[in-house]
Amino acid sequence: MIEHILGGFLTLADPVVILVAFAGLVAGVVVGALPGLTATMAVAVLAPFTFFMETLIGIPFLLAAYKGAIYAGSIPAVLLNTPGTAAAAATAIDGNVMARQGRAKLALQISLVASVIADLLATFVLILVAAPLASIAIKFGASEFALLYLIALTMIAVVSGEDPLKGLIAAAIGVSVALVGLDPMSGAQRYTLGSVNLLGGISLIPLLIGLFAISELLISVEESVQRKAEKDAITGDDGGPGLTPRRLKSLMPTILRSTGIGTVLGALPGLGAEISCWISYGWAKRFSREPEKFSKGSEEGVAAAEAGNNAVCPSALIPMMVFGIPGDTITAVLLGAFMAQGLLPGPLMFSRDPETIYALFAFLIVSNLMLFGFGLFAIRYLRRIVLIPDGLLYPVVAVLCFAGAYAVNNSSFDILIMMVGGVAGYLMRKTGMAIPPLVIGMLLAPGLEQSLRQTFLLSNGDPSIFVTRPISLLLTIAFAILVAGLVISNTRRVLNNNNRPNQQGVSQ
Amino acid sequence: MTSPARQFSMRYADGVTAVVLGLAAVAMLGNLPDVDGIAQALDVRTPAFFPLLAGILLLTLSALLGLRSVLRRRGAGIAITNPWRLVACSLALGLATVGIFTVGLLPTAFLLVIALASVFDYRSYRLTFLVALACPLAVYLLFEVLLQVPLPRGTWG
Repeated sequence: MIEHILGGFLTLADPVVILVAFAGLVAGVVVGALPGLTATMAVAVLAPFTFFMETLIGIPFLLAAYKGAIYAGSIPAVLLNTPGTAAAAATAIDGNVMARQGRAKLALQISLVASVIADLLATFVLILVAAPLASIAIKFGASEFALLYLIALTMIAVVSGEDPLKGLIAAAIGVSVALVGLDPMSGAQRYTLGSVNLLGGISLIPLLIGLFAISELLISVEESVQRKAEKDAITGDDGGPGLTPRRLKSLMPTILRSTGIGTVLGALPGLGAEISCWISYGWAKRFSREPEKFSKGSEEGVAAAEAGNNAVCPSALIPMMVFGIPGDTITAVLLGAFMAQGLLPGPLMFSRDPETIYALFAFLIVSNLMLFGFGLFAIRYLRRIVLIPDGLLYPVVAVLCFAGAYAVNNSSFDILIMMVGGVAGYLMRKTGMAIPPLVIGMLLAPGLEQSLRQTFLLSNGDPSIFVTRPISLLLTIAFAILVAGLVISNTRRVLNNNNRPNQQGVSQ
Repeated sequence: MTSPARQFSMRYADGVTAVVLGLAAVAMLGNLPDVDGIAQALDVRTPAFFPLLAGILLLTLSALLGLRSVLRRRGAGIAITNPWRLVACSLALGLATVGIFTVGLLPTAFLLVIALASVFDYRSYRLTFLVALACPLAVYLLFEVLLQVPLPRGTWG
């Protein structure tokens, strides 16, 4: 494994790769630092650029943007009390209080160091765990994969957003959208409406740009008056003492604990950085010697939230790379970019394309060093990014969306797909229907269909195959428990009649 | 360009969603590809097998949502704050789509930046104009020059 990693570092020893990745990192940091522009949106809007790059230039570019955006979400959280990304929501609690106390620089430094340490440690876990898991996953048959897809899809649908039923509906819509195109077995047309443009299916990246970026634009146009007021409230003074080694040492237990939480949660489908930051924050408070300082400018609070959300980045790649199952929307977009580059994530990728895999692992380590260096240098300048007015920001984003959606396939039809995706995304957010299950449903549907059909072909239509193989049996039980829990909680919800609908849509 | 918020009942919205999705599911099931009936679609070798499952799933879930919206007695509504801004923004995006097909992306980008900046009520006209000029230029340099991706020129381009 060490040889492979060293080989990966050698593959990356190309100034072009590093330069392009650095551009991705800067782009991710800028987008992540802007309130309202999410990390998913950053990756979706930047994804089309990678289609014109070599694999080992394009994918590091996106991974760097991903890391940069997740880290930078803490900047407006600290300075404006407005998280740049949903994953930085917990950072805002203590980070903004610190800024108001004149410790903005310290809060941003803690955020950076905690992010880098957590990401680095979680990357080591990814490297150590992925290959052995892949060697186990390679023994999985069609029935196991079908169940794995079903469990992942159900979990994501249930935990995304506030309403499990709507999450499941979103997943079902995603699966239905994925049906458009040609049948993988017979080549027959399905729901193409006779259009040549739909023979290859619905283009994923334009749809994602619509779902995340255009819908965000439509939501923001309603809320921009409110945000303008928030932007006026920028505060913080970086004249205070910085992060000393002694202070960092005292924060290390919190960072390590939160890294563990983020790593475990990130590897589970559906439980992303948005959840990890809160759980890490809660645990940090519980184990702290000074719990009374939490929400009053606690350094541990900032470190816990940031370590918790950044540790998710590498560990969310575990299910994606090993099983081809994206754990959240960002890894779903990354999966789309991998596929566009001709890489098919899954257990076979480790045996077919180990050079690429280990080069990407090596890059994940390098990108942390890049983020650390860039973050330290840029902290003072990043404060200004958050002040860019919506009235200039969103028009530029809109132009990039149009250009990016077109550039994916040089197709004007993709612009229409983007616009339809934008309207659909807006309506979904307004009605409290989470978007991630739709995207992940769309991505998992081909694999689910293939494995289901293979399973029934192998068993001559006998469904007992799902309980006669040991791993299948375990997965069937897990699936049954999941569905039973869902039915019980939803029934109780209706009976109690205590629904709390989401007025502003689901934060992505 | 602000206007009072419009509030829609969540119960009503869920009911409409359930009906729309239910109809979509029925349309899916009614147009199963390359089969003569549902019985034939149960054969895993036919291209209709998975659409049948997906259609049934969507129909069932839509029915559950519809049922729940009927059973629900209370709940906050969906607020659309500044509906006219939303309409103006949607119109700008729609016209931009038409513009890309006719005059091409770069002139459309210039106009779109100006239109959206005014929808967002941004009042620094000089800066808006500069960004409106710089944005298409940057897109041109990035896509056509650097990435060598031809941008849409439209039917008039």
